[in-house]
Amino acid sequence: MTELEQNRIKLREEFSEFEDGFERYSYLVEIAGMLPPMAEELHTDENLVRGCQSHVWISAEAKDGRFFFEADSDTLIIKGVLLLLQDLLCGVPLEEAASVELDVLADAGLTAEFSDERQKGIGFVMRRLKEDAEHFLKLN
Amino acid sequence: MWTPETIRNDFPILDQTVNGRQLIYLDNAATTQMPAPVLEAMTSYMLHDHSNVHRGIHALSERATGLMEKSREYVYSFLGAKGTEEIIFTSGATAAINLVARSMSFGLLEAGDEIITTEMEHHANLIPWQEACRRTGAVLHVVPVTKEGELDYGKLEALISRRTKLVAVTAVSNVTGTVNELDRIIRLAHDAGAWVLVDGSQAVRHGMLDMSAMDCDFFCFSGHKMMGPTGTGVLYGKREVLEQLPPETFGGGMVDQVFTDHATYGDLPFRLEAGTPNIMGIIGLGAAVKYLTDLGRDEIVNTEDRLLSLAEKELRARPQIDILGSPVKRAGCISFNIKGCHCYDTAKLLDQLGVAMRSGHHCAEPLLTAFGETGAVRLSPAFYNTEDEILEAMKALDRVIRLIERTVRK
Repeated sequence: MTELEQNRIKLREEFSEFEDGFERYSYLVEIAGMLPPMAEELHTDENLVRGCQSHVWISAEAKDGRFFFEADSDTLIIKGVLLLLQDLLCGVPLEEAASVELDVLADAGLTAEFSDERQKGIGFVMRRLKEDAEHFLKLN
Repeated sequence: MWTPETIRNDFPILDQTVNGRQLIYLDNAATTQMPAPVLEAMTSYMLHDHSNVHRGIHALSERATGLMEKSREYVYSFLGAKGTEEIIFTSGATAAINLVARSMSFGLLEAGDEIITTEMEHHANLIPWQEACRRTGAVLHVVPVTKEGELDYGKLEALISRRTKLVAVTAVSNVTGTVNELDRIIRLAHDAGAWVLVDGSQAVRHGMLDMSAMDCDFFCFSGHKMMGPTGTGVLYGKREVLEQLPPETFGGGMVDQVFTDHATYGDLPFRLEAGTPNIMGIIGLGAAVKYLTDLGRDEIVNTEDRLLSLAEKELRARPQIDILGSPVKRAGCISFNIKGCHCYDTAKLLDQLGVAMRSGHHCAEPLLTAFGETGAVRLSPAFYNTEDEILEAMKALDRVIRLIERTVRK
């Protein structure tokens, strides 16, 4: 089993206990506070993910063949989602980050609670992360 | 006499759970729900009378025409207009304003003319004027808003001149609920020889509707903010003003005679209603007007004012809440943010608790910018809401506030 797959199983377990949407959202808001702060100079237009209704900034890097990224948002719920994505992706081998089609909302059981537009926005974030990983892989 | 509790039988949609909780619908400034008589009027038309209007001579067409023109009569007396020819059906307030702006740019506006609008307008009463001015070389002035959320009337007075062709202003802000002093604005504009277009979208359930008393030149509103269906709206215009407007959309239904190289146009109101209208929607709109009239407009205004005052009092009692503006008179809606929290988070969490409120910039970006905000949560009650619902919504808001505070403190 890949490291990413293991992380996905952990995420599914993490969200399996909640009873309703408010609990799942509350949890996202609570963990939003745990998202490591992103340096102010990384809040650039280049790092802004287009197509998101709320502002999302992503700055990825590769270290020793593994994928890492910093992220920030102006909304707590999206910050919570970004933290989940960090739990999934940060530290996994680049090959894994570049090869897997992620669906963090499905893994967390949140698909029904996010509007189509929000899902699209989070889809843009996941695509951006995958493209960054592919880019690092090519450079390697 | 009805109460919000008894009237709810007319609105079966309100009796449902969302996200596992009883729905509390407080997004009426965006769209109101339709009562059973409106749904029945539209269903009956679709089942028995559906056909095209004003053309056919067969029974169904005559019935459809009769029903649609009956709606025009309801709207005409609802507004206190002088005649049905002053009532133009549109797809909504947006289409009504665009109709006037585009028509005026077909020869009524020229370089050097001026249009005045305000910083508190819905985008629908700003962008059409930006475009009309861009096309004609006219100049657009925008009256700023004070920190209380009132129009800066001093600035307005300074801007109005003989060059002003039209003042476009909302009756009630769709963000702060500010009620504008229309009498004063209309007097100022008319003294300078300018027309006034009033966007009545947020005012239409609030009694500010008597055209003969108001003396504005244009007034418009959308059906879906007054218990009618989406895709319907009205442009009222004084007959002598509408007669000066050249048609801006051309086709069937609006002509007198057509030749291969030119056409002559019919009379008002049809001259400004090219194409097959939203017959079913207009019949629903007429039923909505009748419904509101039967309930009693004063009773509706009193009920909604009481609910809004309660909401404002409750919001003010919470130190974590910032309210946008503190106008002298507020109607229809109030917007707020939890300090340090994005409006999306607030509205999404409230939604999970069954409370429907709108969040975002409410199509009024310049006003939000003036308040130093990018968005806000808007609470807008209708007469079918109850005081209990407002208090339940506040309990839900308290849960959200506690959650946000716990997170932000970390």
